[in-house]
Amino acid sequence: MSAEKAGIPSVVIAVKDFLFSCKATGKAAGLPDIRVAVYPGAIAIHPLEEVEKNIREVVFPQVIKLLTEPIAEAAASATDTAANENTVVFEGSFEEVNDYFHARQWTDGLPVVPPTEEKVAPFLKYTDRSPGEVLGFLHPSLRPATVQSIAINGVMAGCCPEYMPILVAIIEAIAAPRFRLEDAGSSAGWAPLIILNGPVIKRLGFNAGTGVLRVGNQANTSVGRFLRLYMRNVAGFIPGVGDMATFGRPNLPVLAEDEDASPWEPLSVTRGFQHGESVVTMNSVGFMSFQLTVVAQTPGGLLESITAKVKQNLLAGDGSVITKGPEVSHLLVLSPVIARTLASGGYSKRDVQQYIFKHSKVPATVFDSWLAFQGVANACDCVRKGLLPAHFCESDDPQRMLPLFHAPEELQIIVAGTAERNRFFVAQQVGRQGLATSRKINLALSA
Amino acid sequence: MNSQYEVLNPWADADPVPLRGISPRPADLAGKTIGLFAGYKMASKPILAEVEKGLKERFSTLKFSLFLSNEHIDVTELTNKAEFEKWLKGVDAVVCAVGD
Repeated sequence: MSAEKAGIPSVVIAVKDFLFSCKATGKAAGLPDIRVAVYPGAIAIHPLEEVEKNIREVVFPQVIKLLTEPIAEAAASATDTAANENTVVFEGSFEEVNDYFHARQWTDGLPVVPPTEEKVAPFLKYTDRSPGEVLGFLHPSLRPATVQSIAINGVMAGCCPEYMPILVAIIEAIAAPRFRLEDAGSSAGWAPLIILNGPVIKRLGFNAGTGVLRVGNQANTSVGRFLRLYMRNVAGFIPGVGDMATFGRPNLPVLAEDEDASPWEPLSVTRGFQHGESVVTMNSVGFMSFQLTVVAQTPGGLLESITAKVKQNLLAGDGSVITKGPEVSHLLVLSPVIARTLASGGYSKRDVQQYIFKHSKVPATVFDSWLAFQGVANACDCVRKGLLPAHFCESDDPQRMLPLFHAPEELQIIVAGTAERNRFFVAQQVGRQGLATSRKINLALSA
Repeated sequence: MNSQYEVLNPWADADPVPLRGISPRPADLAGKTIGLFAGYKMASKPILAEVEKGLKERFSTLKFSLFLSNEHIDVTELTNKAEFEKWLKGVDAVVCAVGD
């Protein structure tokens, strides 16, 4: 698209399933007629001879045609100046409104609360932002993320107006360049997880205990639903168009930390915020482990057992995410009793992170199998290309032990779930896609 | 349940940027410099190698210029964006591949 904008004819080669995605991305960037040559099938599992044959016989003729065929008169489409979000787009009964929204793919497949002006107005009272304020332009649609559209999608999701400051903070976080929202529709199909800290948890009735990630509690569930609706309606993540998740993942409710039950500082404080501040942290989840039981007679034994299972699960997911960005932000979610037992043995949160970092290493040869997919020879090659820090190549011994994340603090620890149950889980983050991004919640206008 | 609802649009139903057409096409490619843009994923290089081979067989006067990206395809965020822009100025057409 940069080439076309510079006046240079161009063609993109894509597999068939990505044709609509290419066209949608082109339209969002102002080039609805971008030309795409289609490769038949899944190229990564074709033998080289088949790739060459398909390029020669199927793709190559398209490339010539698409670079030289004159542009049709109607190609340069006019800008769509259809209704904006302040316009009443439909009038009807509850069922008719939902039929209308379903037909336009404006829902997640479930009934929505009709977003009338009367329903939206109370949401706007809980923010000092003006309805038209733009918090960012969201990929892949590049539509503006306005305060008004946050309120509308909040209504649709079944949120209470009091949740509005949280909804605003969520959108601020996902709009930040660090989060790379544009990758939320990648084949990996990761889910964005909302992590909540601070007084807002109790004040607005979020569940941080048993079944914290089950749907059912209004606050956790509706705020999680809001995010998926917003990503769909405003960012444009519609499966098969802007969202190319091969399988996708179910929508996640909010993970609220049980700060009262934790012996340690909450995640938000670890991430640099003050005690007493309410904070949203957005984090991608590519893989979530079993909710694991851990049994040991001593705090040290407990940590040793947790470490073995963390290692096992980071390897069971996609360990190669470590090479795909400058940092990762995995999650280790401990039940309160596990956290308290570790603390009783003198372990701080930092101690736990350092122990697991040090004792979950793997031989360098493990990295080789991951890297073949990226056309990189080994971990030292990754260091030379700037994909890993220097300490991953202190020697070229293939049996040297390498960590599964760059630094101890990349394993973020959260305390939640059933208070006295000895379980934990690991959530593997997706490298540069959806790195932990936090925003303070502005509760100034809340009661 | 006979209530009537006047509902708002969940998104600003307008194109976020003005739409424009693609660039004019040359009548043929003879004598042109073709830019081959390869993303970081594994299949992009063999795809473009085969495209280059086919183009060379058909247009003997073609020149080629390869740009390899180790990063995400969004060139506006490339760390070597200046290098990319310089490369773009030296080509007449671009073929882009980013395949797995």
